[in-house]
This record gives sequence, C-alpha cells and structure tokens, in this order.
Amino acid sequence: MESLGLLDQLIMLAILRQHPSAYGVSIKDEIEGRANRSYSVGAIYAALDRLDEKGLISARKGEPTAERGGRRKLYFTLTAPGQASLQQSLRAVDVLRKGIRWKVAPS
Amino acid sequence: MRSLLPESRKLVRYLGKNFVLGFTLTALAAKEIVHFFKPRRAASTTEIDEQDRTPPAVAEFIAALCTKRRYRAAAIGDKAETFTQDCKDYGRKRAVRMYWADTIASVGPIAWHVLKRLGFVAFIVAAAKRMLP
Repeated sequence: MESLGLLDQLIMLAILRQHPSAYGVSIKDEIEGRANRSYSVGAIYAALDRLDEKGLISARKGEPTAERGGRRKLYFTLTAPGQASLQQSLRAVDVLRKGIRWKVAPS
Repeated sequence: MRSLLPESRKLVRYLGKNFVLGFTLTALAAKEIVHFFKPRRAASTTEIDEQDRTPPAVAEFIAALCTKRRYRAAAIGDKAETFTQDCKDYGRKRAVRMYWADTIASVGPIAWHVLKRLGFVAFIVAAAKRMLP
C-alpha cells in the first residue's frame, strides 16, 4: 500500500468531496476553505502528478472556457486503489490518535 | 486652532510664491486621490476590459516552463481562471501580484519533483556519503 503525505490526503479528500467535478481550482479552494491551508497551483499539480503515477487518481479532460483562456479543465477522480489507500492512511492516523489525553484544547 | 491659522496662511502664501513646489504637491495629491479611487473602479466587473484579463506574460511563461506537458494547459488554465476572479475581486494590480506570488511558490515544489525524478537528490546524498569519513 502506498504511503501518503498530508497534502496527498488533503487533495484526495477534496477530490472525494468535489466528485465528480474536482479540478485544480476547486481542489485548491476546497483545501483553503475547509483545512485553512494555502498551496500554490504548482504544488497541487506536483502532488496530483505523484498520485496519478501511483495509480491512485485518474484524470479526464473537461470543457474549455473563455475565462481560462480557452484551455480545458482536467477533472480528477479517485480510483479504487486510491480510495483503499486513503482509507488505510486515515485509519492509521485515527488508531494512533485514539486514547490520547490532550493537555491543550483543540483550537 | 487660532495659532494654526496664521501658519497655514503662511504656507499658502509660500506655495503661491513657489509655483513649482505648489504645482508638484498638488499633482502628488491628485495622484493619491486617483490611486485611492482606482481599485474600486477596477473591482467593477463591467469595466474590466480584455487587456485586464490577460495574465502577466512572463509569469505565465515561467509557470508553463515549470509544469509537466501533461498538465500544462490545465494548470495555466487554472491560474488564468483564478487571475480573472482576482481581477474582479481585488483589481488588476493586486491580481498581478498574486499571480506572481503563486508562480514563484509553484517553482519550488515542481523543481524539487523534477530533481528527484532525475535522481539528483540521490546523487548528492551518495556524493556526501563518499566525502564523509
């Protein structure tokens, strides 16, 4: 099973939330809006490329629009191995988190 | 207030005598006033013309250069879409700054990714190991 970093997890969760219309801008906005973390377009695409090479996500071409300078969108979806890998990665975090007595209240 | 009035009269008289200084200060004040109202005008969607929607060419070129061919059109399209939205929200000047900031921030992760792919990092680690006693 593939190991996933924090950005990989955030992107994959954003793709799941935006399904079936997850593309670069919507993924970035979803992460900024919900996780309060800002990443550049380059960082997002570098991570998407990494996930695509591992076979965890797949891409399909969308429609070109005028505001994008006539360029097509790339819509991303999670593959079955991608979903399994994400679930396992999140489960590992949950298992480690369970039973911890926090001394600081969550902000 | 009374004590300030003679001083301001003196200043007006002084500026009246020194035409160049008076003209320069008036021009600077006018420029500031125009600058103050400029972002509000640019924020209006109707007044953004086609030229304003074009992202900075050099930044776009650098971003395209740093992106893999497979994702190039999509990534530049995403940046153009964000730029158009930023122009509407904040005005062109700030949108250009944001576009450049995103481009500069994009170079790092992509360059690192390319270097890793080329085995450059492994080469550096191997060389460092060889140099250590």
